[in-house]
Amino acid sequence: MRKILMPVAALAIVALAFASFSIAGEEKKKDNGAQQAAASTSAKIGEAAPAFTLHDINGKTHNLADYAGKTVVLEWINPDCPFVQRHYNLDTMTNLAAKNKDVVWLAIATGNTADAESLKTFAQKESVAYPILLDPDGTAGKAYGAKKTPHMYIIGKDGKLAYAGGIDDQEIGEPNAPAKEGTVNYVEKALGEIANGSPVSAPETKAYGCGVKYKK
Amino acid sequence: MQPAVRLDWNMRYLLILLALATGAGAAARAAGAAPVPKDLVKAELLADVASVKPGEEFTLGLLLKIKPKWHIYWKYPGDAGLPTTIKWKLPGQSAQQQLEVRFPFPVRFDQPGDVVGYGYKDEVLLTARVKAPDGPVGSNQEFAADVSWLVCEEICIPGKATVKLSIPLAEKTTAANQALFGKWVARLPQPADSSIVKIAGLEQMGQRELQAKVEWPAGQPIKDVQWFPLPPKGSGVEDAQTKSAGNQSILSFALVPMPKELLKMQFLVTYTDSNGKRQGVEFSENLPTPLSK
Repeated sequence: MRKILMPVAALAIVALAFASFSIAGEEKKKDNGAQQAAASTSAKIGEAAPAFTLHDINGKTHNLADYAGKTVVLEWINPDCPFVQRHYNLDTMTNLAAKNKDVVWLAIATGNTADAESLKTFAQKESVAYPILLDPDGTAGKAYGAKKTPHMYIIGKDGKLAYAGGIDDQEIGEPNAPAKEGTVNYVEKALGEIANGSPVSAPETKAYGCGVKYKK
Repeated sequence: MQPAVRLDWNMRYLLILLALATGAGAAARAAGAAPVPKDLVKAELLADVASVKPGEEFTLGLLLKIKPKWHIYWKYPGDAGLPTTIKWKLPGQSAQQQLEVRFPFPVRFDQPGDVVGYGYKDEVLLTARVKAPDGPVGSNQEFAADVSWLVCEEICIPGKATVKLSIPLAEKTTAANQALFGKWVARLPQPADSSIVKIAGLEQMGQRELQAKVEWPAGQPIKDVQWFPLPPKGSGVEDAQTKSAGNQSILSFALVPMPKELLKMQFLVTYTDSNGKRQGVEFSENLPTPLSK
C-alpha cells in the first residue's frame, strides 16, 4: 500500500505545484514606459497606518478601524507567485497567524489577483483561517506602497505602522525549496517585540517576491 | 516531504503532461487555465573559441533565449523578481571556482503600480573570462554552468538548467561565435572615467533618501539616461526617480533598510551618445557617513 501511495503522492504534489503555473494570465500586459512615477505616498513607519475598507472573498467587509486597539498584520498575497507558494507549502504564514491568536491577520490580494473564486480554492487547499481581502483597484496596495508578494506590514495597537518589509531574510522563489536553517522571520520577531512592549528592532526590511499585479 | 526538487526541464514537462493527463492539474485549477508555456528560457553554453591554446584566456558565454513577452532579471531585479545566477564548474578545479559574470546593459520594465524591474527580454549572453587549463594539447576540456532564473510575464516561473561545453586544447587558438560575442561584449558597462562622465557624488537627503549624480562633459548631447542601482546585500531600492537635464542626471531613491555600517553601492548608468549608440558606465560610491537610522 505504502509502496504504491508514495510515488502517487509525490506525483500529485508535483502536479499541484506545476498546475499552479498553468494559469497563464488572460490579460496580456505591455510595458508601460509612460507610467507616472508616484510620489512617495506610501505608508511610513511610526505614522498612522492608511485606512481601508475592503471586502473579503466571502463578501464580509473589513474596515481597518474595526481592529483599533489590536495588532494587525497585512500580508500581500498572490497564489500564482512561486515565492508565496513556497511560504504556503512551508505553512510560514498560517503557522505564524495561528501562534499569534490575539493578532488580526489579513491577507490582501491586489489588482489582477483579486479573484474571489480562485482565492477560495487556494484558501481551502492551504487551510487559510484568516480573511483574504480583495483590493481590485489597488487603493490599499498603493496606500501602503505594496510592491511585492509577499509584502508584509504590521500595524501596532496605536494604529501606527510598526513594520514594513519581507516575511524573512531568504530570497527563494522555488515553490518546493525546503525551509532554510538559520532563517530570520522578521514578522515573527517584530510581533514578539510588540507583544513584549519593546520597540521593533528592524522596522523596515527588504521585501522580496513577485511584483504586485496592479491593473493598468 | 520533498518531491523531485531538482528535476530537469524535460522531466518537468513530462510530469506536467502526466499531471494534465491524469486530471490532477485540471482539478487543481479553475477551468479555462491555459497550458503551461513551454521552453520559456533556453540555455546554451558557448565560447568565443572553437579550440584554445593551453593557459590562454578566452570568454565563456551563457546564451539565454527567452520566449517573446517574458523576461528574466539582471543582477539586481528591481522592485520584484530574482537575479539570474550562474555557478561555474571548470575543468581541473577541485573546488568550485567562481568566475565573475559580466551582465550586459539590462532593460527596464515599467509595470502598473510603479513596479519597476531590470532585466532582459528575447535574448542575452552573460559572459565570463576564463583561463584554459595548462594541458595537454589534444585533450577535451569540459566547462559547465548551473544557471537559475525567474522568468516572468503576468506570472513568474522559476527555472534552472545545467549546460556544458567541451573545448579541445590545441597548439593554436581558433576563434568562434565572433559576431554573437562581439554584439554582447559591446553592451557591457565600462568603468566610469572622468573623461566620459564625472561622478558628482552620493548624498543623503533624508532619513533614508539618497541622491546620486553624474555629469557629462559640457556640450555632449546625452539622451535616454537610465539608472540601474545595485544596493548592498540585504537592502532594496525604493521610490527610485530619475531627473535628467542638460549634461546632468540625478537618481533619487530610498535604501530600505538603510545599512548600519559603511558600505559601497554600485550604479550602472546607460545613455545614448551623440552617435546614437547606447553606452553604459558602472561605478561604486561609498554610502554617506554617518548613516542615520
